[in-house]
Amino acid sequence: MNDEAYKMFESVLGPDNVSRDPGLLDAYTYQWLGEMIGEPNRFGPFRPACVTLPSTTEEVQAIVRVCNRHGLKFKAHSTGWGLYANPGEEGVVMLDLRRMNRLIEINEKDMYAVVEPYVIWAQLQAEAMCRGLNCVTIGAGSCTSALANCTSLMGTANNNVSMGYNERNVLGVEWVLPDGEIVRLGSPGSGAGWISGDGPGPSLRGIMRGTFGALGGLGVFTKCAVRLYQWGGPAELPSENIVSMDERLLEYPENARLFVPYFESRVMMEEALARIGESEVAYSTGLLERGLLTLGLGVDNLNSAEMRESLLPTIPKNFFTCLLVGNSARELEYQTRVMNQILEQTAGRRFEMMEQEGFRDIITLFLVKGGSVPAKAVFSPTGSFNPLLCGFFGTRRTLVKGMDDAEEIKRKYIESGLLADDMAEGGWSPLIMDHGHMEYFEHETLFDPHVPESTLALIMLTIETNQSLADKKLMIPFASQVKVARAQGLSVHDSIAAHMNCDYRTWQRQFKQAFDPNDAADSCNYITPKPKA
Amino acid sequence: MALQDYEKSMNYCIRCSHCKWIPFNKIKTKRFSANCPAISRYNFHSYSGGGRVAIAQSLFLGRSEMTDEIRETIYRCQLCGSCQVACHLIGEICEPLEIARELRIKCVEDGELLPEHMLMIDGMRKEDNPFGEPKARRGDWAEGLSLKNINTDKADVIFHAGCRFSYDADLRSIVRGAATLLLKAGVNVGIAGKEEACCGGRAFDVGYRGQMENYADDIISRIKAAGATKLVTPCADCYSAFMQFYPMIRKELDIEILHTTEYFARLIKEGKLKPRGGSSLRVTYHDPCHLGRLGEPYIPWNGTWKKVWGQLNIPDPPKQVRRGTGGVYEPPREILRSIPGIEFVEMERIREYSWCCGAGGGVREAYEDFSEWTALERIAEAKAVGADALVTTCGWCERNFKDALGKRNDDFKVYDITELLMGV
Amino acid sequence: MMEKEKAVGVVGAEHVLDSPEILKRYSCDMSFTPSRTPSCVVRPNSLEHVQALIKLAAEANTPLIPVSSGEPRFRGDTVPTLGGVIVDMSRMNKIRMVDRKDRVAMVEPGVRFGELQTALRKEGLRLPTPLSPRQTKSVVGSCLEREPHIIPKYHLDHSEPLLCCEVVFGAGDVFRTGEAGGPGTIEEQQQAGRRQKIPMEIQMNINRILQGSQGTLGIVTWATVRCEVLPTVQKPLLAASDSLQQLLELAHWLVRLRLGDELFILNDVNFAHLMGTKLEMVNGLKEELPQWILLFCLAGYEFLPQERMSYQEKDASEVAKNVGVPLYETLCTVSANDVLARATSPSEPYWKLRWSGACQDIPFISAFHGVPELVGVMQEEAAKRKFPLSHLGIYVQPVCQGHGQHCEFSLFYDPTSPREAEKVKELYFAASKALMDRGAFFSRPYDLLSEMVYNRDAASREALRKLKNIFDPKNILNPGKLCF
Repeated sequence: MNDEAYKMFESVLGPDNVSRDPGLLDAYTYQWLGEMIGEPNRFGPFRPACVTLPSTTEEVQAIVRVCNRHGLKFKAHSTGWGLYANPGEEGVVMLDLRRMNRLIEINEKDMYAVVEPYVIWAQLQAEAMCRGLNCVTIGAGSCTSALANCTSLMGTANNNVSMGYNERNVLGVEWVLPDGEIVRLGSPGSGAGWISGDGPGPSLRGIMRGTFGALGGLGVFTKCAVRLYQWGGPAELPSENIVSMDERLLEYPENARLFVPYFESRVMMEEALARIGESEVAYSTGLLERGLLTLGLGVDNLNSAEMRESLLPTIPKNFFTCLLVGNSARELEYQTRVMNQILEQTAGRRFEMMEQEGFRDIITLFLVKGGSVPAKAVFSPTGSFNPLLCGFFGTRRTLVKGMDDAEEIKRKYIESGLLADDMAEGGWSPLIMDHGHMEYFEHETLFDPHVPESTLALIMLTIETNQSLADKKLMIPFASQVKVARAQGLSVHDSIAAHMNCDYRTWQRQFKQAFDPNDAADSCNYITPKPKA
Repeated sequence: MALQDYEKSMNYCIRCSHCKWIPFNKIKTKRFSANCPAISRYNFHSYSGGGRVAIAQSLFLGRSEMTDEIRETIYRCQLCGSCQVACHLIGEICEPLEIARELRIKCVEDGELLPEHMLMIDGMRKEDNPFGEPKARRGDWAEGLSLKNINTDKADVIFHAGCRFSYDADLRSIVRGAATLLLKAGVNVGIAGKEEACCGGRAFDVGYRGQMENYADDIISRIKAAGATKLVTPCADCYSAFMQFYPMIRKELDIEILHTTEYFARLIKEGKLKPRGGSSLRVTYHDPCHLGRLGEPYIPWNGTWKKVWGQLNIPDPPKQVRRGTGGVYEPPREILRSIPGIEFVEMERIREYSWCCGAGGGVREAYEDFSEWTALERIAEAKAVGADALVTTCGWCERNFKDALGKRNDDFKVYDITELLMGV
Repeated sequence: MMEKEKAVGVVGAEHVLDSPEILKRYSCDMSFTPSRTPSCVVRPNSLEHVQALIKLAAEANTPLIPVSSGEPRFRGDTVPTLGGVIVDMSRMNKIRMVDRKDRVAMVEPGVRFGELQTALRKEGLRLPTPLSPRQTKSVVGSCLEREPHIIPKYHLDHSEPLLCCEVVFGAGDVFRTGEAGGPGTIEEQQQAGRRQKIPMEIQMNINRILQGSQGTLGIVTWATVRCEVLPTVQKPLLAASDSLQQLLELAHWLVRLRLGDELFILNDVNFAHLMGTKLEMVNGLKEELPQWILLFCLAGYEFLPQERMSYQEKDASEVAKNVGVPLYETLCTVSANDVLARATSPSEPYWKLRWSGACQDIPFISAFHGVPELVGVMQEEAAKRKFPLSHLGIYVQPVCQGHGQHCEFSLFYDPTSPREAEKVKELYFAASKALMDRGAFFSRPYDLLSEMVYNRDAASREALRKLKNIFDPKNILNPGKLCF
């Protein structure tokens, strides 16, 4: 890369915090889903030009300015998990924000925490819970950056039902724009603390993200306030053992109760979910379909294989998990009675095996904390996965359609033997958000990254599913589509816009042009300033 | 084994960063949530367990070549194994610890050596200990204890002191104390004295596999000759070498192997040993990596991965998933709880996910500042839980803690559990 | 300037108004914004009308000032700064959809709170509403202003309750926000079961940009709003204290623990103005009431409503006891039921004008700990200018599920007295500045305060100007407001 620029990075950061060693850079090239767009190994197609480790907003700004001056592209990541974090072309300067790891403030009365990019959900949650608060630790697990999720990515989580999607769980934000200018969204811009991210006037949160963030394509977020919510459980949930199925709570929280109901049909299940939503009794909800549960939660893969063989037939098809957490014994009692009434109305039955010690403990931990269970379930069996319908937000009449569609299409791919055989029942999702105002479903699909035919099957399945959804005028799941589009060398938005009633690319592209005049921020997961030929 | 033996393993890192943290459900505070000294100190992803896997695969595939920076990265790691514990919570094919060690073996094979490590190996080659101290003085620590000499006498128990305890004068009271406690409990115990050799674990950790193989053979023949039923060591490093490394290189010690804490706990239960206790003290316990997660018995595997249920990967025959759960955790705690006057309080990072003392993997020898920094992180954790003293059961840990504290004129106390048993 | 004939060609002669009386009504409002007479008022009735008007305006370089709500208007945002054509959206007043199952309604900009609530009630739904809005207030207008409503637990975000909308940008393009943008047309979406509830686009959220833009970026032709289940039983309660801190503490815990639905705090003046039915009563209440009053309302819905009320009441009572505040069903002869009824219904005459003739609001957002201090700042500024505290209404509304407080000071005055008006105007500016200096966040600055606010945040100002250039490159929509 450009020596002059590199020397400037060294002078800004100190030589210990910048590197262009090829082997070291390969650690930033190796990535989950690298196999989807490159060789059948984990290395994506593009190695960064160098990696920088800024520790302050000013250092980020300096790096971005050097990039603009020297015509270099840049891309920042926090915890850096997934293809989104990798460069989209040659010559990209990486900003690894690992050194920006300060938890600046927890405001208990206004219920937020101000974090830098490398504060992970598990850290934030631990600090919040001992103050009687909690955060929306996402489905990807506790190891991900709270800031990156809120500003740049997604935000689906089991506790979306009571605490909402993370697009709305961000308050003030500090943002280094692609041209190096710093903008502070909302109240921090006016020097009025972190309490709001909107205004003055039109909210710039609207360009920061939508259902998804810009995935690195629109600058670097350096601080943000993340909303916290009441947590009625104990300050800690001490457990013994560390391995998924073996983990046991030392004491089950007295004001929590786990329900695992099952139903004759998906329609009835959805009906129950909707009622649970409207009654506002659920703290956390989670679908873990039996194919995924058995393949993914064994103590090891051998155990999973046994569970798939012998446990699966004993698990009902249409079940979900629902955790009630009362702030008082009275509240828990009320919630319990409502749940029972809803199950009565919807012919739901209790799947007792999962409500008893053992499953109860790990599912409760999963519903409250996330922990390692989600990653274990999807990665351990085959080494890789990609969700179908990742980004499929539904409502009352569409959730079941999406679920049915994915299952039906996936089944034939399962029969090919190229994917993990979850009986096309690999769904994970919170199912309902904001007490039922939104519904969400994604269908995890496990493939072996070391088997090219397996990866190809995943790609073909995703393409077919997304086409089917578009044909039915249902939402096209962006996070699924962006990866297959990249695998095919297509612009993701070109592949989606054709189905829309207005061409949103016009506006997104103009944001890119206006805020990134030198096209410095790597846009491989966002939008290019000009249409691709 | 060589990198090519990990070809499959190297493809299965998912780049999730679990290797950078203690198990998430165990995190109590942000301050003490990290598990890996290397990534915590040097920050580039290449320093993490996952990063090392990527480096290994890059070198293996010929995408990159060895450079000074990569060599530094490879050696700035205590091989404490916490990355692998965390990694194996979500997978089992990828083995970041083994791959990190293989990288060192490759370095040695390719002549990419660190002078400090060469000095250590030189010492081993000449004097059978990493310090280059005279082999003839190895048994001096036992003077006047009337221990049997297993080179000439039969004993039920071989007491293997290890290099650190044999030569470190500051720790002499510990090793003598341990032997004394065994004698008091009526154990028929013997030592090899000046004939005792290094276990070789430290050589293996810095990439000199052959060096360790020699030592393993030596110990195996000595055990055979002694006709003992138990091998007891106060050194966690040696314990780990016996339990983990030797089976890894297919060298089996046909004898029950016990760390002193295991044996003491057993003797206390049997009523043969009565903890004396001393003044009241609030202590916390540092799980040495080599006694804990790295003390987990290694079960060799020569199998293949096969597919069931479409693409589910399963090992054939069954393969141990190394998560450190089989390490020695309870015995030291049982001892601490049994000592009158001791108030035992846990730190945040314990057992399988304990934070390293900083001394391992050749780091103490080659990167003193990093080693010291790592130790001070642990001391900070001990202080944060309000302990008056940190208790450990490994001479290397104790040495490293004491050195780090000494440099800062910090009089925070570090004890070996034996000292507490004897009544501090 | 856009020729009247051309506007007539779009909407018909009867919907292009330019009589002096009418123009006068749009030339000013209750704020201190200088009046300026528009050239005419046009009243479109469809998306196509709005599109055509914007096209004409762009060709003729004519400012368009969109107006949704009826008089009296307060913020200065619809007073033409540079003249131009008023686009009065009140004819577009259809409720296009109410869906019980998805708890959503689709409304045009002319729909007002009262009408919508009536329609919703029939379906067992309700829309969380700002504190007793004036009868002429447009639902869409309120949403676009980011006006907070009085049910903090349903105030999921400052964007609430807006979901999707259809908008014609100043650039002339039609856009549908959130999931309304596709796949498929709105009709096809609805056939597929979709109800335009997901408010975000893929990687942007145009709603957020439109909200707070005061008609400067686009004209909205319909919007969907998030509705909630109509309670089957309700029990409002009052708490009162001379300590604002104490009631804030109570509010914090009630919101945090999700105890109760409607919840807000008023000072004695605002409470008296809201609840008084006669002037004597207003004055009497001001004298008798404690300084601060909090209303919260317990509710039960479809499932075990009485049981819900029961546990909530017990839990809320415990919270109140811990905070040291008694709860009342009636306070100074005013029943909590009446307060709830008044707070949740549009008022006519508007309660802020009923007893004093005029009112200048100062709305802003504050952190929890800032509220008492900022109240003190306001009172100091009022005292400096000898503005009687008995005319200072204060409204504190926990927003965003307890993540922040909306504060609104209302300066009640007699508009017929120029001296009094001038004094209030001075106080308005001075107090606003003092409040900003002490950490009040003016998230939706109106007209005269815009410059002061945007000068504090030059980076946002520059960013917003870029947005303006994207959505309204010819600056035809409500020019001179905000920072462009």
